[in-house]
Amino acid sequence: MSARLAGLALVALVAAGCATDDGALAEGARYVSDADFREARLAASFVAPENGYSGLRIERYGEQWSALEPWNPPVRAVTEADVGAFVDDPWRPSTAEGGALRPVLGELEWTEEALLALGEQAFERYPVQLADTIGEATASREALDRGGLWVDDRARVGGLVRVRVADGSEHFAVTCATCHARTDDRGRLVHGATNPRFDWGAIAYDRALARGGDPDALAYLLTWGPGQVDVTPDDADNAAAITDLRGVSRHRYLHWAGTIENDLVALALRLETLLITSVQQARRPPREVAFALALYVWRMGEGGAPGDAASEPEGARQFERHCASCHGADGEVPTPRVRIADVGTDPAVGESRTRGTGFYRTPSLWRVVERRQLLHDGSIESLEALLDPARLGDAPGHDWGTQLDPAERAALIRFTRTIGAARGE
Amino acid sequence: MRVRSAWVIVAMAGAIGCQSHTRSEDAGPPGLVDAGPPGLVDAGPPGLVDAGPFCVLPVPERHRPTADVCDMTRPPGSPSPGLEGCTSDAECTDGANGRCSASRFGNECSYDECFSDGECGGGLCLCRGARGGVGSYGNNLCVGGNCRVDSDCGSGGFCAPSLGDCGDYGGIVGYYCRTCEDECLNDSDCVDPMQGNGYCAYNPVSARWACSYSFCAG
Repeated sequence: MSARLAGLALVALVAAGCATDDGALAEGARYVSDADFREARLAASFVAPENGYSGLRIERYGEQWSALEPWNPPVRAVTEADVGAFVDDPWRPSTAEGGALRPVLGELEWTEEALLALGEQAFERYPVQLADTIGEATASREALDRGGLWVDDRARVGGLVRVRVADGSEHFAVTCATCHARTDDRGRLVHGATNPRFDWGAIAYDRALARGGDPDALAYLLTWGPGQVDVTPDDADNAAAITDLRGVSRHRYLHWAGTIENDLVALALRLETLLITSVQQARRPPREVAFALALYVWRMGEGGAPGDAASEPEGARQFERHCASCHGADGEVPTPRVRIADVGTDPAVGESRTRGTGFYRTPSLWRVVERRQLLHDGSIESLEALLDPARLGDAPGHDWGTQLDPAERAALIRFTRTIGAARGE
Repeated sequence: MRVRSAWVIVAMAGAIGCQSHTRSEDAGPPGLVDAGPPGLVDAGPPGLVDAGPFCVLPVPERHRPTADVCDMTRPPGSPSPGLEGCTSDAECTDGANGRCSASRFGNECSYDECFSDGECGGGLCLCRGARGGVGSYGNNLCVGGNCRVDSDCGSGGFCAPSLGDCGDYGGIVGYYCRTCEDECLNDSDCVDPMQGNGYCAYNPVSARWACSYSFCAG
């Protein structure tokens, strides 16, 4: 059966009654099988079609990128046993065999359960980008720690994998889990949580310096900081905070500058094109992998309840006065984006010629209690710091709520912490 | 993100002040018969091993016609007073040409990893001060790839240095044969209004040279 017929059969199967309540599976089936659908949804998702990010996708997604060969290479997770193992011979093949992601189209049951399992697998194992630079940070435990790479209770290191590529060589690669996961106090990996210690810029700086680079010329890499990455080729120093993915379904926009109007298919397209540009447009991910990953991320952070006004009435009142016009107590975003000048924070990300729109998106506060960095540049570590007027001199912007007295501020923080949290947390 | 500012400076330093740091030998690279560069002996791109490329390849701006043997001398280190760690080059004795220099974590020792290709297993020795390679104060180091010199790529082939992923942090990451399927020849071929100034690099995913832009996944 041709791929197109298989796709049409999939759509028919889903339409016959296998969709979830929110129609996610039906959307996914169309995304996988219908090129016109994908292109139309992609074009409709861009807020500022003229910026570099959007323009590149509009120009190339339909014909050029759709013709790329799907890529699902053999990979294996990097573990503690690998620490120091590649120092003398970075190119040696792994002794442990790895496999590609399974199942994929032709084998995959189009059910929520199967897709989430594939998405979870992809989150930890699909090679997002070749990264031998990051791999050098596995030279020792000290190097791991300097780079902010986690080691979890299964001895896996930093969400890194070894991937075998077309010419037979092996390389380190990062996965979603490198940036968007961290360990809890028992060493268990928490998917979706930002890794606030991961310092890609510093790892790159150390490597370049060791190779005789000019420290002054390389200093811009140190401006990124832990938990932040500069992902835009716009010749500007505008690192953005690594996003906490839990509750992403509640964001009206994707990217800090609100480049994309968010829905499940838009997220799948965003992930698909990310995986294409991260290998320099050489390959594309299998679309069922891209959709499975999107669905997995979409479902992150489900559960929990809206802000608990019953237990924090004073905080709820303060929230209504100072926050609710933008950030809903139910995790929604009544004002989904704000002009850069109005929020008053560093404009560099929002004005980027690559992803800029002139706005910053309003993030959902769903489960904000679990975030380790706030605002688009991750410059604020906590709600306490955000609402403290003393920080405005060094970190201006987003000054809503900073006029409260300490008791009002404390009440507001207690209430805000309950948004998206399970009752009793 | 800025593109390549650091390595423009390094390359310029290499070109201006470092001509004496390497010398070439005509006899061919030592060690090639024994091991060979990774990927070349076992598989290799089509047409690579036996007969050369099945096309007439244009000459890239940078390639390696013969192997280098690195200069044995190395400039003194530059430790920063008051930082923890080593205080002089004399304390750096765990390898060749130990030098004590400042880093983010204090003064640290570094060593020359090699002086010739034969010391690099399947890779080649990138000399300090080589144009576009390691900066003048860096250490000679082993890099990988699928070739060491042009003749490894067959008759009419070219073995060229490539920068790495996500921008060119760390300079040259390996030497790779140019192929008949390459999408670019030199960095000047990689200017895109939507992606900025890129560079021509070997992409292991597609096993060909293609334009690379400074995308970090995100």
